[in-house]
Amino acid sequence: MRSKLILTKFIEEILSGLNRLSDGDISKLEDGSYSISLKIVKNKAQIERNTEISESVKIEILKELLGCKTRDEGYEILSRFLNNKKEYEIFARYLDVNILKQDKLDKIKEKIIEATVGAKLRSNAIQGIKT
Amino acid sequence: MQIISVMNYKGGVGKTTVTANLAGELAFRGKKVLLLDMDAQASLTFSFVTPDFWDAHLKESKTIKNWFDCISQGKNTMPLSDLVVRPRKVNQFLTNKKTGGVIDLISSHLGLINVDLELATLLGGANMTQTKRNYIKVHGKLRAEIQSVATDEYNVVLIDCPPNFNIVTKNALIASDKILIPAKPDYLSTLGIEYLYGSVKTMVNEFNEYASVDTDAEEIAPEFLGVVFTMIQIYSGQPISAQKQFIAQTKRLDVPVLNTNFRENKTIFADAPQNGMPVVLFEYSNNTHSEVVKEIESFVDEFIAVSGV
Repeated sequence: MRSKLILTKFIEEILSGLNRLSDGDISKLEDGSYSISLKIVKNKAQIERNTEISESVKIEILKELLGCKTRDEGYEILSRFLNNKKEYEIFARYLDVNILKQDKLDKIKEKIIEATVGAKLRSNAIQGIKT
Repeated sequence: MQIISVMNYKGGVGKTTVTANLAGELAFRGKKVLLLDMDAQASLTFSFVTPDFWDAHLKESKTIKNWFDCISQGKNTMPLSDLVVRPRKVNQFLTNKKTGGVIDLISSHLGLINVDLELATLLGGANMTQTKRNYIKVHGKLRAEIQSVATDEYNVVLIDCPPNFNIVTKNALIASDKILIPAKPDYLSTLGIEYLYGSVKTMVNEFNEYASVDTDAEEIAPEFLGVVFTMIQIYSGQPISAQKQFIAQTKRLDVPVLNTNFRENKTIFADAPQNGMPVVLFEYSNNTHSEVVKEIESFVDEFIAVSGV
């Protein structure tokens, strides 16, 4: 059933594309010097939607990070919740972490950890609080 | 009357700028403010009186060093009111504007840095009880003296502390009802905030434990008013990202952070102390400059709300 719906959607998109052909395009196809081909392109808006992280997930990640006793625990939490560089960037921006365009994924992870787990560990060390 | 210390371990974070402008705006709003400059660099002193006036009229007998000298020499201290001066220029302005407020000052002294060593010789004792009593004597006397001079005369006493945690600084913190922490939003300055928190907690516990052996000493409980971030660089109406992250990080550590801040502006902050008037009392025609003044006024609104001054 699902594949039928998808096929119907594709055929509608192809028909819509054919309807948009100009008279000139149709003439070119008629004389055989041109042909129609299908091209699959990435839908940018769709990608952005897919990488959106909900507010409740962001809060959950932060809560878990602030409860970490070591940086390694923090890295594990990040890898459990976040899947790609885009998601790390979104979460970093949520924390107001300063990320630069040239920052690689490892650098972004490190910045997130230092702004959360690292900050807590430094604060405890300075105040003489044993964790 | 409230006694509020302005303190950070880190130097150069804008303690004096915050203190002077806070005093200026409070006085403009009709408050009677006593400033106590405890920093041997005497920056707050020289923000209100010129070094030549200080040299001619205050240096020998009218600075906080004279009061500490009495303690270290085992003499009776003079009342702090003997050390109070009323800086002419800023108070002339306040009078002309009919604000009803005043700014008085107890000056610092460049030699205050040596007082600590002399006070340290008074610590210790033949037994634990005597050691505790000496600790209270050396650290706790300023509180009672400030209350005695300020309770009826002033609405608020602002103490500009040095960027260290020596005996003179501890005297200021022990005397305080509240502590305001100016900090730059950068890595080292924010570390200083946490160091200060830890040190103050330890000091309060120590003092209160020792105070139990001295019937004249009262327990203390200075409250952290919060952090005011300074030297903020603004881009598109917000702090730049590099600073924003340290503000957010500090908030996540459950440190109270004021919503208002002081922005960086060398053009107006660089020479303001030379004029004997805090920036907040100037009227600027330039938009950016008047924006800076508005931000300081907003900070004072928030300070009043959280401190109850």
